[in-house]
This record gives sequence, structure tokens and C-alpha cells, in this order.
Amino acid sequence: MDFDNIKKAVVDMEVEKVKDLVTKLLKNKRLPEEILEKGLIAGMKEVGRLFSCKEYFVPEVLMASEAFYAGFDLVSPLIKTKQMKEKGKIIIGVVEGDIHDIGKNIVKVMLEASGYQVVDLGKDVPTEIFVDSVTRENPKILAMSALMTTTMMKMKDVVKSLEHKKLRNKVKVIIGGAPVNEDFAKRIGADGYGEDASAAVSLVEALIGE
Amino acid sequence: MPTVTIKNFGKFYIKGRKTLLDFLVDKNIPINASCGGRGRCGLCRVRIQKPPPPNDIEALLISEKLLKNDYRLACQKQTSEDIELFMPKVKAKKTAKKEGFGLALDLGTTTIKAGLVDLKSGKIKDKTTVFNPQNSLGGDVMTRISAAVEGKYKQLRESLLFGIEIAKEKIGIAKPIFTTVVGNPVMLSFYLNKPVSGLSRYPFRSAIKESTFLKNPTRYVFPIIGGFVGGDTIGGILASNKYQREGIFLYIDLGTNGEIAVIKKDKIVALSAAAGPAFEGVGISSGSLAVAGAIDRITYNKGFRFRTINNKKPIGICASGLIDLLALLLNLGWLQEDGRLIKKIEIDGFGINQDDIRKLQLAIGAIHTGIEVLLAKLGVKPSEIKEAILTGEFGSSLNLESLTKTGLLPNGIKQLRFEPDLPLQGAIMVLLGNDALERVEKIKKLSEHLELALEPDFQKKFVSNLKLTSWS
Repeated sequence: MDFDNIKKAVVDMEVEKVKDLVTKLLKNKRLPEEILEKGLIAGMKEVGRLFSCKEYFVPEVLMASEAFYAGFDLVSPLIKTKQMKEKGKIIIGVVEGDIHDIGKNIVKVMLEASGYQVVDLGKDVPTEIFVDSVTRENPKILAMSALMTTTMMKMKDVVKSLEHKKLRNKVKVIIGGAPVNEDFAKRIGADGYGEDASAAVSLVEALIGE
Repeated sequence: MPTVTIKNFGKFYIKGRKTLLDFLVDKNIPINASCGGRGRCGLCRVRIQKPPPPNDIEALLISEKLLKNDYRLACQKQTSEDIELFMPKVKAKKTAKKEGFGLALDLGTTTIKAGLVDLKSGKIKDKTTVFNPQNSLGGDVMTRISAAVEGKYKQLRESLLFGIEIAKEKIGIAKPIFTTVVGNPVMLSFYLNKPVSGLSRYPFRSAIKESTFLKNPTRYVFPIIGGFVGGDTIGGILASNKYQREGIFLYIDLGTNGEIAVIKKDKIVALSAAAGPAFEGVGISSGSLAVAGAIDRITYNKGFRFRTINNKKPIGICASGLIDLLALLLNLGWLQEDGRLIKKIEIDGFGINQDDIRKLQLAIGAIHTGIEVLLAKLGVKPSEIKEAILTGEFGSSLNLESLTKTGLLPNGIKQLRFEPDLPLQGAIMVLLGNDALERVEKIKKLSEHLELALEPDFQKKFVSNLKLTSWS
């Protein structure tokens, strides 16, 4: 019931209420892991569902994520880092030549809210930077987006470059963005396509899930 | 007092300001001119003793050989200084049917617009619109750029030129003596046979920047401002006649990209906002382009009332109708400001769903953010806007109340002017006179281009502007 209240406060985008509820539960010696999983993450999952069925829109998702982070910042220092990292690291970025990143930011929020560690490379990211980051960070997933038909082929360049550097087997590549689809993902040799932020989370779970 | 000397004929003193052509006509000296002295036909050639270097128009309309032999255009020479010339040689008049006609073109992504002008009288004879045949190779401009980069450049260019031929045929002119061309940077690049790859990705550099004069046949192509803000915007601002005036003016050309400019006397800032094709009706369940039969005005009085363009049987709802509908739904409480649709409605079988609303929110939010960023750049408040000048694919009329209720335009705009074809009007103005040509260069010089997505706090502003609410 207590966790449900936190979940509801996240869905209702109430930053202060989330803080109060989380603080109260921590005082009552409830486990931070449980607060995160059953309250905060459950809330963001519901937000993702509402976004998928068009009931929630970009502003609601971003405001709900603020409420999520308000709670997350309180519980995360209390959770052993080992546990946090277990779910795996994800590198995310918008390909070179493309400077629209709101969609990518929403996917990032949803992935973080699902417990993944996300390294954000930003927008207009050159192919070499994607590849270098994969070498350095050793992520389980590389997520890329493109918003224009003119830049989506850059994703193929990244996949090819990973193959060339013999890194392709070490990382799963997923893609998203307005001009791409499942078929395009297959064509360029990516491992999957996510239609929206919720789909991206399900995709990641299917690819590297527990 | 300046003089004009015609060899073996006589010397004349000149009173007042006039061109050499005016002087020759006054003196009944035979000279050809089929464009009324506008510098568009190139027929009033005279040989001048030690002439100054040719101006752009002379370089365009006179062959290099004749230029070298000191030929210039009488209409381009002011008689404010002494001139010595040879008696003009007049050829027998050609019998071409439409001699003295000029053509203005607006090359848009979706449509090509054309205007036919009788240069002698200065009268617009006809206007027409045809679909850009490039549509069959992709609906939006980015898809066409990708196609061009992947090897279909020639096909796209030929397809555009074919569209222009169709427009010429429809308007009834085979060989205009002068053609002026406005359009977005991508279309102008195709037209001038320049690469479009620079526009395929950030930082969006067009292969053309300055104006271009072309010979055989004689053509003038507008310069561009920057990014995706092209000669069409310069043409529209020229036709609006609102630069270098007292007051603040807002200019919006709505299509797939919304080109927005704010004009503050000697300063013009402009950008393009990626509004998506929603305003052209694409991706909207009941959407339509602003063509005959499109619902373009909706009101509510115990039920929805609507009007269609040309009173034809309704085929869908165009941008102005969609904006009216959103405003009405907000007023009725059937739509929340956050975009959540409370009550489903239908007008003569045409409805609007939650997904449609989301797409329109993105389009309106993009325009709203563009306006906000430009006003901030010039340090101007929305209430200072004297007039908003709108052009493009909205509909056939616009309702200021609906535009402000949905947040597409800010509150406090004193006047709204809507004309669907301002860029074409700009091209027509250049057909009609040289001062328009100078003003094009002036507008280009005064204009600064901004990249919206790179403005500080763009995401924050855009996200909060997704709310369907009035602002100021």
C-alpha cells in the first residue's frame, strides 16, 4: 500500500509528495531496494504505459521523471553499488548530423528508471565516438536514434565500424526514431527496434534481461 | 545641367531625373522596349561612348560581345551625368504572340506556384498552382535529399523542371522574356543544379547563398537566408513590405517546415521550425491540404458548423479548420490544455483523435518556440508585435482568436494579415522593377539565421510550449 502511494505520486508527477513518502518509508526502516523497485520504478513503468497509449505526452513523462529522480536521489545512496550495476550499462546517443534529442532523452529516463546505468553521449555524435565508447565502457547495449531520413544511415556506419573493430559480438545494438522501423533495423544489422520509450525498455529486457 | 549627345544627331540638355530610355522616348527617337523600361527584356540596347561597367541586369541581358562593344541598356542609365551615344538601331518587331511577358515561380516542396505578368502594363495576368511532381519520389524535403544523395539527384531535378513546364503550360506561356524564382533552399538547389547534400545534416549548409542571374533564357533566382530559410522567405518579406518600418512584425510561412521571421526595423532574425506535415493534413486522420472541399472554418453554436473551401463537398479538415477545432474543444472543455481529449467528436464524418492532437501539439509547440526564441533574440515582447503576417498552407482564411487560444500565436498582436502566396508576390515584384532587386539584397543583408534546436534551453521551452494555451 505504501509503495502504491509512491507509485501513484510518480504517475501524478508530484515531486514533493514523492520526497515525503520516500523519506517516511526510509524512517520506518523499509528497504531502499523495495522502495525503488515497487514504488518508483513501478510508477515510471505506468508512466511509460500511459505514454504508449497517448494518454500521457512528452511534458507529463518529463515531469513524472522529475518526481522519480526526487525519490531515486534519496534511495540510491543507500543501495549497494554492486546491485545497481548488475542490470547492465547502456550507451545512448543521437547520430551525427542530427540535433534533435528529446526522444532520446525520454528513452534515457525510462531506461534509468528501470534500473539501468545509462551513459549519454548526447546529440550529433560521430561514429568514432560511439565505437570508442563501446571499447571504453564495455556496455551491454548501444542505443542510437536518428530523426531524419538523411541521417539514419549513420546507424549502419556505426554497426559496420563495430564489426570492423571486432566489437559487434560484445554489444547489442538497438535503434529508434521517427524515420526508422523494425525492417530498417534488420537491414542495417541492428539487434532490435523500439517504437517508443516503453518499447525500448521491453526490448532491452528481452535482449539482456534477467 | 547634364547633357545627352547622340552622334550625328544633336546635343540635349536634361531637366529633372529620368532614365536614358525615358529621354529617348520623349524625343521620339525609335527604340525597342517590350517590358516598359523595367530592365527585363534587354531590347533597349544603345552603344555608349566610354560607358561605366555594366550592372547586374546589363550583364544578364546583353551578350558579352556587345558589352565589350560598349552596349548598355537605356533603361538602366540615369541621365544625371553627361552621356554620349550612337543612334540606336531598331530591328523590325518580332511577331511573337506573348512578347513582353514575365514569369514568376515559387518552387515549394508540395506545390509549384506560377504568376504571369504583362511587363509592359505591369499587370498580373494569371496565377496558377500545380503539384510538384517530385512528390512521387518522397513527400517531404528530407526524404528527397536522401534520395538525391543516394543517386536520384538527376531524376529529382528533371522532375522539378517538368513541374515547371506543366505550370508554364497551364498558365499559357512558352517563352517568358524574364523569369524570377523563389523557393526553399532545397528546391532552389535542384533548380540551379547544385548539390543538396550539405542540407542533409546539421549544420545544414546550402550550396547556394547569393542571388543568381542566368542567361538563355533570362532568369533571376533569389538568394537564401540560411539553413532551410530560403528565397521564399525573402520573397515573402519583400511582399509584406514591412522591413525598415517602425514597429515589430512577425512573418510566418507555414508548410512542412514553418519559416518564421521577426522584423525590427533594420534587423531581421529568421529560423525554420520543424512543425512536421500535420498542418498540411498529413498524418492527421481527417487532415487535408487547403484545397477545394477542405473544411477551413469551424464554429460552434449548439453544434458544430463548418465551411469548406469553394463550398465543395467536405473532403477533410485543413490547417485553419484544425486550429479552429482545437480552440473550440478547449473552450467547450472537451480538450484539456495538456492535450488530453475528454470527448470524442465528429463533424460530418470527420473526427479528431488523441494521436491527431499529439501531432498538432508538436507542430504548434515548434512554431510557438520559434516565435519565442526570435522575440527574445531581439529583446521584444509579444505585445509589441504590430502585425503578424501569415502565408502558406493554412487555409483560405484565419481566425486570430483560434490562433492565440491554441498558443500558435501569442496574445496582444494588433493586426493579422493572411495571404496564401506572399513569396510568389515577392517574385512578381522583382519582375516589375529594379528597386525590388535592390530590396532583395537589402533584406538578405539585414537577415540573420538561427538554428532553433541549438538555442539555449530549447528542450525546456519546447516541452513547456506543448501546452495548448494562450501566451504572451
